[in-house]
Amino acid sequence: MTVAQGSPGEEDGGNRTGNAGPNSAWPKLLSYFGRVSYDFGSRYMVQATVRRDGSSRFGANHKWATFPSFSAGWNITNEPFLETRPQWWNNTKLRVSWGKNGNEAIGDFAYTVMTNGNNNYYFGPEGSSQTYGSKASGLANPDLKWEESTQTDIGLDLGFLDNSLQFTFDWYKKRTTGMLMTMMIPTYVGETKPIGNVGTMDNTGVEFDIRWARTFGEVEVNLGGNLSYVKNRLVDLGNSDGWRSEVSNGTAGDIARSMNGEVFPFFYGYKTAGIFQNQAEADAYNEKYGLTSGQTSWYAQPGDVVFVDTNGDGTINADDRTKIGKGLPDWTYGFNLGLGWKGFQLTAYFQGVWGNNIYDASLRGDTPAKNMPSWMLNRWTGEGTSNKIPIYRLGDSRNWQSSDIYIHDGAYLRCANLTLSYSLPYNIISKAGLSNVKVFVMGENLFTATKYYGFTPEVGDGVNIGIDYGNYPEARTFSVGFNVAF
Amino acid sequence: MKLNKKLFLLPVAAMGLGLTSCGSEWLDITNNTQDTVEDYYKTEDNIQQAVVAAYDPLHWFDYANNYCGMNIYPEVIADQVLPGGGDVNDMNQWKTVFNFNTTATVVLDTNYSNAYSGVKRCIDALRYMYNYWEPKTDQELANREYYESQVLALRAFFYNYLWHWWGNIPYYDQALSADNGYLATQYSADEVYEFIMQDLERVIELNRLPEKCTGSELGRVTKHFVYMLYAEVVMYQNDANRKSTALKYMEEIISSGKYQLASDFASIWDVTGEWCNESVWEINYSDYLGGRNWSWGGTAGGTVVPGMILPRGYDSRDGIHDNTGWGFGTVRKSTYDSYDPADTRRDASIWQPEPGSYNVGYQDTGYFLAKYAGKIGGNAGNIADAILNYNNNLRLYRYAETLLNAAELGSPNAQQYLDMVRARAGLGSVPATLDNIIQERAWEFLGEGKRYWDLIRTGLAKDYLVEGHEYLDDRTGNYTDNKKYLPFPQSEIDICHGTLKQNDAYFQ
Repeated sequence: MTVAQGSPGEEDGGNRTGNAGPNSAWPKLLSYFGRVSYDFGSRYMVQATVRRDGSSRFGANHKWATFPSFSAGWNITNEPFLETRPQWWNNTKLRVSWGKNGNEAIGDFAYTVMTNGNNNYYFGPEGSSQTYGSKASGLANPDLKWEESTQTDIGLDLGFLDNSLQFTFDWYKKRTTGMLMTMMIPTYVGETKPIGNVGTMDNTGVEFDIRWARTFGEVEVNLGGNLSYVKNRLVDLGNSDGWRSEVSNGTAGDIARSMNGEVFPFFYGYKTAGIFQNQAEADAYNEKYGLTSGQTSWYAQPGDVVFVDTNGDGTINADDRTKIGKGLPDWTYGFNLGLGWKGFQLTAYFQGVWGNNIYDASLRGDTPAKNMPSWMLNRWTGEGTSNKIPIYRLGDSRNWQSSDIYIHDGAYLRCANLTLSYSLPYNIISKAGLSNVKVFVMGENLFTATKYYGFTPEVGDGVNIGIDYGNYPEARTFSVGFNVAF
Repeated sequence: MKLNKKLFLLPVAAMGLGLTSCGSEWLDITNNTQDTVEDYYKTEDNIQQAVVAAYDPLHWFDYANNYCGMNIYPEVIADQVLPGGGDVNDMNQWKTVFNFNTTATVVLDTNYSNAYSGVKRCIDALRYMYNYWEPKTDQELANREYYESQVLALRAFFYNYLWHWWGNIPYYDQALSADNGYLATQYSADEVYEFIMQDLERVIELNRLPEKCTGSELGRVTKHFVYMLYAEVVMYQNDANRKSTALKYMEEIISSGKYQLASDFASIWDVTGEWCNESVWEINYSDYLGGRNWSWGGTAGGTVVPGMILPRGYDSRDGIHDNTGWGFGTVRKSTYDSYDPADTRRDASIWQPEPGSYNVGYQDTGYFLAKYAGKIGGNAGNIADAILNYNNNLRLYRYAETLLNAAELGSPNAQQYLDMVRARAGLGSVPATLDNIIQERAWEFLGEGKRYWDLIRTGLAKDYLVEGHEYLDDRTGNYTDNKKYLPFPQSEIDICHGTLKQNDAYFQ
């Protein structure tokens, strides 16, 4: 029997609600698992695993959940009929797997009710202190249980040229059910709504991985790369609206929402069509949409943003807001290269994303008097000056509502690591009683190629994915060192 | 060919799967910083905290993101005041309700949830005091009835709010839980009326509330608060069967000798006029360490109404009124003109900043509500966001209303009571007819949120609440009887999965 225990979070791929507060001793996780595997002639392999996980975060009847998984492999190159294959063809293996696993990434005690303080009221004449009140922390949800993901994976491994060239391909489809989110129950319960097993989400993707290593005389070369694509779709949010607000940002309103059938979450706001360059353009717009000065904050003047009547109803209002981007990248990739020669070793690692947006929420245009980013210098100051950044006015709420003027291309390529090292020849150091001496120079986060101007294009997670609140950038680090082994 | 067979079997795997209880106790963890409600509400001190928490939502209504204070919101629908504000879109919710074109998506949604928060806290407090606390002495048993009386009266108050605005509301008096899907039953307005009366009658029967509170207890519900609420509910329902009881309660308050009309009407509205001899009950707001802030308006503190109704950008040249105004709730000129110039209530209820001393907003008439207008220094003690923390208590029930209720309910002293109210205002007698009493209430309670309900319960609303032509931006829609109730918030209709039926006028 294998008993694993530890604090949760190690396996929570999709932490959406995550507000694990430090209000308990420690949340606990207890797991049992059993595995059966069978290998026939190094050709056919099957394996079945069943694990049973218990979490302190669920009520008495729902602490435990069972997660089976099954996998099968077919090592085609070990088949007799391929014994006569070309010499360069080393390995071909087909893999299929199916499995379930669980997520318990919520706060503690969400299934029950605790007490909260500071629900106060003033009694007595003016100048009296508040009288302390306390109440239930929320509503209990004794039915709260594990969120479950069921994943199907089909994979192919290939090896050629003495396995110096290896290629792996995977296709997967993951459906997550009973997502741990706030329950959609009536407001008249008069209380913070409990967390429940709400909603269904699909993630479908492909992953490629390629490795190549070869020695040319005294030069060793290795190259590797991986590329993955994911399509995320919220199947069912679990409410009848089919959508909800995920992130709001002051008077800009909702900036991220979720909606059935869409990626979770997506950026939300108005579409824009540039800036009114002159009075004639503004007049035409005001006329077209019946906007009168003083009657509506939508009234346009030169330098203002051209908001689009997305739904075509002849007016500009909150109904025109729509999906304007997403923070989740379509593609994530990384590649590494290594060169070795006579004890010298050069390695580099790059990673990046493609097919995502960044929502720059670091600046709220309606908040007066503050330091501005330098791009504000490029704002509209007269006809032809800018078709992207509006005129600046103190306390302007019209132009700075959530719209695609906050949206930027989030693709980037980062040099995550570059290391040059030299290992002293063994025949020299062994005389000093050493087994290995290595000196190295390493640079981390050396450069990032991106069109985004913020501190870093790697911003946000969970519902805030891709939202830049002026995040502190990752540091660029240089290290010089040596390793000595005796 | 070599046959290579391997078989692993972790032998106890199956055993582990069967033993679900193995380790389950180890998974029971204790919260180090919070008690469960079962453990916490075992003592009288903590029961008292649960009672205080039931009062807490009372002070949310004026702000809580809706800005629809109990006094100001009905006023902008009635016929004496205009919504005003910065422009036509400012407080859109006021503009739509003013024009009787409210939709289910622009409606009083936060106050809907506020009132239910109050209901839920009352129900919880009752549950705690009866299920978790075990009173040991006769005194403790009596105390429990006192706490029960308070939360029942508050529950009636919160349901009364919901009943006034939405009528056919979901009603529950037991905690909603997963067992019932967190769903409550929707009742007709007449049924809800009976439920509210049951709570009030139970409180009156328990007879544990003091007639009036003093000192550090000011603000707690009292017997006379319950009487006033009883009369309000009965009169709004036009329940002929209970009118005599309501009258009896009004007469009881009058004969208690605990109240008298303030000789100077204007003095009532000063900070020193809070809990004066004319005051039957108030919702306390205070700037003293007032913690109201933009991100969470539920913190105890002051009120935002006084700032909302000040003229925009007023230069404070009178040395009295503050300069933080938003220009809401401008008073119609016809309202001002309806007062007898000798009526002292006119200038205590309406003030006119000098032209040029403020920025003209939407629906500006030059007349502003005076009773709750923010005064310089009225939020000085706050520790959060100043405009949210004016110290003006909401004078919910005044003795003048007790007298006018009694007169309307057919007291043999009706004429005397009406005369008392008029005499205090510097006016002579008029016959105590229903019309005169309703008109008197309009003058007496301007800005106190009574008029709208008066027009509805007397059937006058469809005559008075109609498209107007007094101003360029006057009302563009008419009250009709099927608009007595607001639509439930659309989000609530959606989330109730067909168990909540929309009010008729707004039913698609």
